[in-house]
Amino acid sequence: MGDDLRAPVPYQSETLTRRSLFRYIGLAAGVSAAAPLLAACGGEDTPDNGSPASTAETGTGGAATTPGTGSAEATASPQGNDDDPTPEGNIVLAQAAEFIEINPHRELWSTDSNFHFAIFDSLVQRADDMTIVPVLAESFENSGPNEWTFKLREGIRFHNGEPLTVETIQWNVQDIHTEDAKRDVNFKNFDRVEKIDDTTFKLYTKEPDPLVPQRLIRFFILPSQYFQEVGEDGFIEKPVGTGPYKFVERVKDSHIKVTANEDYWRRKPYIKDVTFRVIPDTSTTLQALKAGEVDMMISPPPDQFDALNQGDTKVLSVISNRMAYCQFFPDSPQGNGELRDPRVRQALNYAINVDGIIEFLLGGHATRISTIFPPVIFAHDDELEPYPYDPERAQFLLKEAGFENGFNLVLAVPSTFILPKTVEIGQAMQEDLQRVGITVDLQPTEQATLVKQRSDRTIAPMYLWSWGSDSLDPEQFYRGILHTASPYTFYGKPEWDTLIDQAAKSLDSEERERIYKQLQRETYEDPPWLFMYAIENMYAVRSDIEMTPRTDERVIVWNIKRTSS
Amino acid sequence: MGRFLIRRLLGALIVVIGVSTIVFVVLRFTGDPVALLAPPESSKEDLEAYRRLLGLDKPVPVQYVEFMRGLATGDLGESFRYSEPVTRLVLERLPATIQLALAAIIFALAFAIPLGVLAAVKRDSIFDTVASIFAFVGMAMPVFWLGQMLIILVAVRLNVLPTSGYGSWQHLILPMVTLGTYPLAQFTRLVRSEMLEILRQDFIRTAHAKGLRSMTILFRHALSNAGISLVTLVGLNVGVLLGGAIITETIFAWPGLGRLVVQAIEFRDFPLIQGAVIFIALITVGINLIVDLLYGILDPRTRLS
Repeated sequence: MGDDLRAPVPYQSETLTRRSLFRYIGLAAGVSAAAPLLAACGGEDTPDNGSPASTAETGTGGAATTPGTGSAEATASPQGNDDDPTPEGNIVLAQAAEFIEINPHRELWSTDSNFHFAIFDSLVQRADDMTIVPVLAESFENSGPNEWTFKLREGIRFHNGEPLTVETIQWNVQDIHTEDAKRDVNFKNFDRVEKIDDTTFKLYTKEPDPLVPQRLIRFFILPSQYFQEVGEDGFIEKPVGTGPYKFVERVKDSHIKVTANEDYWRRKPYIKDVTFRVIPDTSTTLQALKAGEVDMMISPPPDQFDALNQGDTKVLSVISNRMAYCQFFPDSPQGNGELRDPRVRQALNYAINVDGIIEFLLGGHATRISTIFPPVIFAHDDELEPYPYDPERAQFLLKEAGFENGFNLVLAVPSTFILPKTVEIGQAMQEDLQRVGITVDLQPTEQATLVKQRSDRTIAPMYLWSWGSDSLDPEQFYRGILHTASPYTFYGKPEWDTLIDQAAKSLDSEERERIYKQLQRETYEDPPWLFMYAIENMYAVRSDIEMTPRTDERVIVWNIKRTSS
Repeated sequence: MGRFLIRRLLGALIVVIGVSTIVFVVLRFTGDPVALLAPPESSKEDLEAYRRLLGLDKPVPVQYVEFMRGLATGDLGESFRYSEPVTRLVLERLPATIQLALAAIIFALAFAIPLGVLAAVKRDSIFDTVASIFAFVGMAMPVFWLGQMLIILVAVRLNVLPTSGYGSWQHLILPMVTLGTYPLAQFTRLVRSEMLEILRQDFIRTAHAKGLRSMTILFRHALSNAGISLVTLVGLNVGVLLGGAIITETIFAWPGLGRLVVQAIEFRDFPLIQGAVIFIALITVGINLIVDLLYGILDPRTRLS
């Protein structure tokens, strides 16, 4: 599969889940809990009660019961004080792609984030169950349309002894706006930081932004004095953070080693030495896992699940924030405008047996979806049923649209991709569409070529793609593939743009939920996409590894345990 | 000699300019690095800003002139993806690649010479047949398959060597064998056929007649004559080995130039691909120059021409 050698995983900014919004903004008390986000599939191990995730849950849960204060008294005590292990043993995590940016203030590459989460802390983070918990911030609140007030946790020091202060945060916000480098667009709405007192500050945004807490999750805090002292090159040589692990060494294209921070300010990590190993070849990674040289591989090939689920290894999975879909491009130069008629796009949605693809090609490791994002995303309309597989209905709609004799359609699929089995999926779709009279010209194409065709707008009228958002919010889905300002939107409407912009700036979660549900209904009736499935994040691990697979695709080594260490 | 060197160096310069130009032009047709590198949620404006940052907003001829000007001063530019100087990125990976290529060549020669000589001396014996079959299979075996088989057998089943990685001599063995098998097979065949040819010649018979020991004849007189063809083949193989190293390095997670190039191509990291290709071209030209100079040492007759 080798999927990690390619394009940046579309990690977007962060979103409020309904639950976290209420919890932190304090709009209401006693809100019904959001749908359980951790739908561990495949009967795999789930963490025991002492897991950090459940500890975090308890910590913040207490805060949520303080009603009506309007503040985010999310004063979760440093998690897991009752469970403070001595770090021991070691673990080797395999990843396919080389590390790109050691400095987390540059662009985000999903490949790098697991390392970033080991070395650095941010103001807030997500626990394994996807609730947002304060980390370097003790608490925070949305104190105005464009301002958020934070209380900084006291007494925290970086690995080099440098204290964490409000000035550090000020410098960090300035640094992400440095013009001379590629910066993560996720932070471009941050304006400046105003110091209130030694532990309190206000973060101002340029526009009202309900996703500030989600964006902050990967806004890693760097030591300002050290950074300025050694410069960026020096920092990349020896990165320093406040996180649970300290940097030891890096051999480019080979590995990074980190060791447990014995003075970590919250619960210490369970495992002492962690190696992030770069192994580009999937088969080699599999063999290294079997030989016990590595302890975890991300996205094992689906045809290996059964073999990996016995003996010394096991497979862990959880529903992902990422889904597979086909994008329609009605005005594609490779078509004749057949897809301009919404009935044709509906017909395509009826004509393809997505459940069959999930069952027979993906071994059931995917969830059929009714819209453009997985059910774990905020404001998902659970009442909207996925398009059923109904070839007769498809034929009827095609006839109504004037295509009773069918037509020819180019379908492009990336030949290797973050999704497994893309070519086989294309072949299944080709057969299904043949049944309703549409002759598919299937074009498996290298991903980089498809990306170029997307940006040139010469891509096929229908192409298989994937989108995800670690914000767990519809904003990044609609902003990326529905809003007409996006380079990757191929069918949109001005009224949809207005709705997307309105929701993006609204701090009222009920209003946002209403707008997103409306968008889900409207795009269901006039589909810009072929709705397919949410994937599962899959991990193959040695059987003595205890970890909770995460919906946001992160691997947080701080939370990983090993029973035999 | 001086003139010869100057002519070869001029030739090398033309090769480098030609290779750079071809790579530069071809790359511009193959993809859009901005679309591949920019964060997925970038707006059209973000993409334009990114394009400007990478200097891709300028007309292609202007980009070409800037690239050639940089090349003339030894500046290969900065990688789009890593935001680091290309020269540094390439030089960091070069030692691993050279280490692997050298190990593979030494491995190949160390086995090919005795195997080839023995096969020639014991012509048509069982040993000769086995060596020939071995050479044939070795040349036909795809590198990716051989690599995987070695990993499964040696690293997983027998568990005596690491599956992949870099750092110790144990890590070097499997990639060395994988990369060295093809040249080993090739060299064995060459040594055998050259030796058969030479052993039939008059001066060998004369040597026998003089009563020289057969070992002396074999190694001192026969093999040194086979050396010329062998050196040529080794020189030609260096380019092949650097190419083959791309696959071997990927299979064995070997942090060399090949890996860097593969990733650069996937992301259309133009400056990095250009820089790496220029380095590989330089190495190939350099090795061939050394081979030409070696001829003079091995065969005094060529010194005159």
